[in-house]
Amino acid sequence: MTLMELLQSDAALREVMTEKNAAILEADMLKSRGDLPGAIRQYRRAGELEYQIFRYLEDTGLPDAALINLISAASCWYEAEELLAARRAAHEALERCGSNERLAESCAQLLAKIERALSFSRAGEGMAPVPEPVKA
Amino acid sequence: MVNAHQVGKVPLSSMGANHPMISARRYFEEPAAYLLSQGGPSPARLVVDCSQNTQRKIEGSDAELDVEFDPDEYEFGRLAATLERRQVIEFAAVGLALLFLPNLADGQVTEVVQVNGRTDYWVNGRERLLEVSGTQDPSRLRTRHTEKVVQGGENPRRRPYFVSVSSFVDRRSIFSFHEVP
Repeated sequence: MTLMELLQSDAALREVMTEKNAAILEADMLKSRGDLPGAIRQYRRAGELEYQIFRYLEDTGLPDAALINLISAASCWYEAEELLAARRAAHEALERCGSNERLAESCAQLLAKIERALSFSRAGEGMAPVPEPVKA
Repeated sequence: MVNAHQVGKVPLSSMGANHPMISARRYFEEPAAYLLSQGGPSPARLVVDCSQNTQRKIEGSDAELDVEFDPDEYEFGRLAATLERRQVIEFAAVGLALLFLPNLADGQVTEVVQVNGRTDYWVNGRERLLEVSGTQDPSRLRTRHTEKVVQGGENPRRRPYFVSVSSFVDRRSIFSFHEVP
């Protein structure tokens, strides 16, 4: 089954993905308008939803599709300054890249950015809550 | 243009129904209407070079769309006051790509993801990616398109991709499709 086929048959996934898309686009718009606190709130929410989608797709047997959501979760948490959650997700993503060198390189770049940011912040702050799985 | 395929009238507001998973009207319709309105009244005739769009569902290599919009529906003053020009162009360019996807190919944007500080648009699940850019300088259209084709080819997901680049001053766009090398 492809992700598109799953989206067509799974209303719960469609709903969560639509909410996540809106959170990312809202965050981008708020960031463009200079509303950084608002953007951070939306990126945090997007990160949580991306992680839910990642877990759900992996459980559904679409690990390749799920990996994109895991990388996006790490990226969203980085933007939300949730650096420990971002690092954990980026590590998980890097472990799953397998032979895709380009994707691994992209994950490694993201992880390096997160580590740099962490080195300038106090460890232990900003841990995102453990996300709930998507209910089918 | 003599042999362009006439798509006909396309309401700008149709992007909402064609891309129901991304709140398209909320984010992309107003910037697109704003820039199109600066070139003249509705409908705005867009000329789209589709010569590299092998996924096209039109005949011929060029297309013309008459994009309908109602300026009274939007708050252009607020838009211009809260977004920089380059950001308006960026959002508007996505808006035009959202018109091209269903009208010139069979595409629906189903997902938006963040990757390393950039926003990626996925089409039809994970079948294709969408690369978008806009410019106010007509002489930059082809160069910008070439840059985006190269950028799309380097996408780490290694998926085929659409490229949509629009020049708002002369209302010309290039909409193309590419396999990853």
